[in-house]
Amino acid sequence: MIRQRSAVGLLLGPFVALLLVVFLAPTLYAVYLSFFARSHTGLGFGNGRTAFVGLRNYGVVLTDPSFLQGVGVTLLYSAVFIPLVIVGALLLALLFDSGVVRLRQISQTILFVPHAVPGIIATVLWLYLYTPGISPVIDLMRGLDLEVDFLGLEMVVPSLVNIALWSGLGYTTVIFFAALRAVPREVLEAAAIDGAGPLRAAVTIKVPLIRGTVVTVLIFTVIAALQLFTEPMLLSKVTPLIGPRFTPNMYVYDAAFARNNHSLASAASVLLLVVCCLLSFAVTRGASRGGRA
Amino acid sequence: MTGRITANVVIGVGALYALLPLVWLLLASTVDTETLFASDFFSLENFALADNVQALFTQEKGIYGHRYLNSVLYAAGGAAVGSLISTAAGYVFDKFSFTGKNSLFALVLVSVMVPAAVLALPLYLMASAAGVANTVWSVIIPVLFNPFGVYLARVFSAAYVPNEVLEAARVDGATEIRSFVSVGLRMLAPGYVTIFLFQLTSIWNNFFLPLVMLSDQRLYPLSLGLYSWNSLANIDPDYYPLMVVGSMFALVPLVLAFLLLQRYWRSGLTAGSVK
Amino acid sequence: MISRRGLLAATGLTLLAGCSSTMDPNGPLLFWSSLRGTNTVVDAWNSANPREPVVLETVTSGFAGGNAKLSNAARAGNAPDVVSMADADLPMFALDGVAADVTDLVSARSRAELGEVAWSGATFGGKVYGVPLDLPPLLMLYREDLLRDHGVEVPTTWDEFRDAARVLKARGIHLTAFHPNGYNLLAAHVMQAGGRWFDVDRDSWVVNFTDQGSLRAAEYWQGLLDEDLLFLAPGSSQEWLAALAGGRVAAHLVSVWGVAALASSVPGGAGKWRIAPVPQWDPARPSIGRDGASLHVITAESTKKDRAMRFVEWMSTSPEAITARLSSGRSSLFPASPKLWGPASTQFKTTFYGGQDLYGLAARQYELQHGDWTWGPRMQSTATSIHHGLARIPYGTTIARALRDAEAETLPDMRSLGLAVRRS
Repeated sequence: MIRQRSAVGLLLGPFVALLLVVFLAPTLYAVYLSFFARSHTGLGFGNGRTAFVGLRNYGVVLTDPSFLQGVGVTLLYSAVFIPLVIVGALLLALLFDSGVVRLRQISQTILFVPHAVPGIIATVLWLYLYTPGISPVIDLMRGLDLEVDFLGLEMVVPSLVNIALWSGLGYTTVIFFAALRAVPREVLEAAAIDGAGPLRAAVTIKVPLIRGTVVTVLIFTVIAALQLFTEPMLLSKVTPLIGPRFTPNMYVYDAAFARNNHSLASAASVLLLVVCCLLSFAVTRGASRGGRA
Repeated sequence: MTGRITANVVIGVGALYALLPLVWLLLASTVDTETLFASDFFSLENFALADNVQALFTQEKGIYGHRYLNSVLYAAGGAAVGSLISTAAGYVFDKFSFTGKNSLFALVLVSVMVPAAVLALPLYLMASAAGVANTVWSVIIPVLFNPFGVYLARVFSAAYVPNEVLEAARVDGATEIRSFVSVGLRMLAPGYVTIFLFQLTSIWNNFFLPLVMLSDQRLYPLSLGLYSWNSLANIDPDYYPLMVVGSMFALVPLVLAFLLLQRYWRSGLTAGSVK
Repeated sequence: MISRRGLLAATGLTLLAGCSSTMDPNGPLLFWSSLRGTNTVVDAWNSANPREPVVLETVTSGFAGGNAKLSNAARAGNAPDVVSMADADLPMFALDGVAADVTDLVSARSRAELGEVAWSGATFGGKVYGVPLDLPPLLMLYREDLLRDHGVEVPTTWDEFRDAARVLKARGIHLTAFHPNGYNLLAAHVMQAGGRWFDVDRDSWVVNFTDQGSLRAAEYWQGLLDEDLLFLAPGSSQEWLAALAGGRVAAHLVSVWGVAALASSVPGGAGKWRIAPVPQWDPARPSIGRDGASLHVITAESTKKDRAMRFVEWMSTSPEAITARLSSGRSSLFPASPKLWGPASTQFKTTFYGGQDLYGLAARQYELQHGDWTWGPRMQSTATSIHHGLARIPYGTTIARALRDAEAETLPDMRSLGLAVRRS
């Protein structure tokens, strides 16, 4: 038994140390910082000191119009992106699963490739495809008498959604496809005997059977949407329509490094953290329920 | 029959959507600035790949190559060590019982969901206080922590390492560490490769952490280097072809790793998400 | 071929990075600057003062990353001794304790020589945090040939300016540009109109981005935009430079520092450009704004503050310093010290502007500047908010609306810092 304990310590030790140093400690530190602040009085010159300020930073974040706009952008982005990626990937996965697709292996691989492209490069790539003068897409659309400003005000969110969709569609398809493959064939055959056509079988039988996977992917996608940072950060260098506090994550970065206000940044981080923890709680609940069903 | 055609058309459109931007990148990296702006890729006289590559590797005294090495160092080093730590931890979670195991594992699952970006600021402040901000350690140590890798390793360990084999090793008098190294790790090799691959990709793609931690340009990985070039391209269009070729070279190792090791990717994805 | 030695070298560099000599009281002065012509200034100092050497590191300007670099360095304890800074950024660094309180180090001589208006931009709550370098009034640079060809007189009031813009517009020329990324030019207009975004009332900040002066300036420029009289493009964008070079934009409003910058941006315009005072609201009560000024700051952590102050005061008050700076040909700095205008005028070549006497003209405008202007404690952020709003002008936002939104985004920051703040 002692032998076992030392083995556990040795094999698990490094991971636990990392868990403490790069996860728990920063989390607690963020919470701590959010309640304390470099605080000034009056005009503030020459009198800064660190003080407990209670919920002041939370109050400021939650009433800051730029933070609330960032939350709004995230919601809008999620509302467009999530249905597209989930429904699109389900459709593709069901088509693959139906057995009518030719060159299944290779087309899955092609669909999957964009996932291997680093986010920053995917963004640069699409940025160029959005830039008049460089983009063959814009030239092509002009040929069809379509004038689209991909970096214009009303296209900013759709353009971001497109980048995420390009990166994530194939990946999500592969996950759904694997889940569909795991459905016992007898269940499907039983349905076929009942006279369900391929379309009906897909919608009424296959999709409910992989509900657990769909829910898990959905929540992961929501969490990823909450983290939106790299793509808009890069685009913000190109169009001033995307401000430095465009998403909550960018707000954190801007508060910490442009405004030099770590307490404000920590409060915003903690708010994001709480939302993510609630969602992750939902995942574990959802997953365990899905597993039992 | 029409259904069959529609299905194949839908898949075909999806495949084109995935592929065409990459084809554009490939073509765009072969031409000079002027041709890039004219989108005229197919006239051979404007073929300038060699010039572009030379420009890429000589710009700012070869900083691109330097950053490439940095990325390789951070990603390969971080992934090799990090996946070993994760694999060992996952193995322990699967094969041993100890007090607090369940709550510890619950913590692992929670930390999977926490966005790395949320932790970046406090990590930066801690690193700054410890005097390691703006050093390699500040971008390597945090990425060694890979709770998703631990989760995968636990799943793989349950699937690939039969308890009987370990029991036999114990009867032979092998220490637990020895049986992990000689039996467990060997059987977990495919799992290790999967975790390594996932972690390599995520470190290679990491942008937020280096952005926060590093101010010394010589320490920048590719992602941050391309980001800073992109900001310059607005002012100086000569950076566009550099960005295009630079992006292409930066994604080559990942796409290759992906294509060659597809089996491992899929096993990680299915183990991670279908459960 | 990637050698192992290469990898090790990369790592070695890394481990060495971050060492500095700011803490060594006997080492050379470390100096960060993004100002044009600073290297020749430092060379001149070093050859005259070999026992008090200065090491210059050229950094990117504040908004382009210089501010973040300084904040990070100060936090990590390796900030330089001396930094060049835009006056707009000084309140932040003073508030954060990066800029040292140098009230007791400033000599009576430079206090007298640099003038009250210049010192007002370096003084907060009665304490001095920087030494002014320049105080450049806003000017109007214009294409003499274009105005003459189209029979347009050089406007001296903003009403005349609008009329001139209408005449030129009818001939397909924009009189000037509007830069959505130019909060500082907008601030210069507001300053001239008597507006004040930030003010200090005893122990409290007073914030109002839409006071009478601000609205007057905002509505005037909005009117020009609504009539399509302005070329709407970001400052320093290719688009704008091409329009300047192509004679599609006839004038450029900028403080004195921009005189040399224009000459290097559109070299083909040599001899065609002239300099005029900026138009007035009311010629009977003239006033002038500026789109920013520069100062030098000594950092709080510097262990060589006395030496640093000697160097900084030398840069602001010595004829050798201004001569060295202008000898680079890239700078048209307008010194805050009137004693330096003579040497500056001798050194600066104005062939680009047909040999006009820049410093003589600017000296007359200098008198019309006032000190009733305070920048806010997080100006980079405020400026970005303004730019974000102005970028939406093509989508129906107005300048006044952009200012209102920027104010709403600035207040939370100030509250979170615990500052006393109210709206006037």
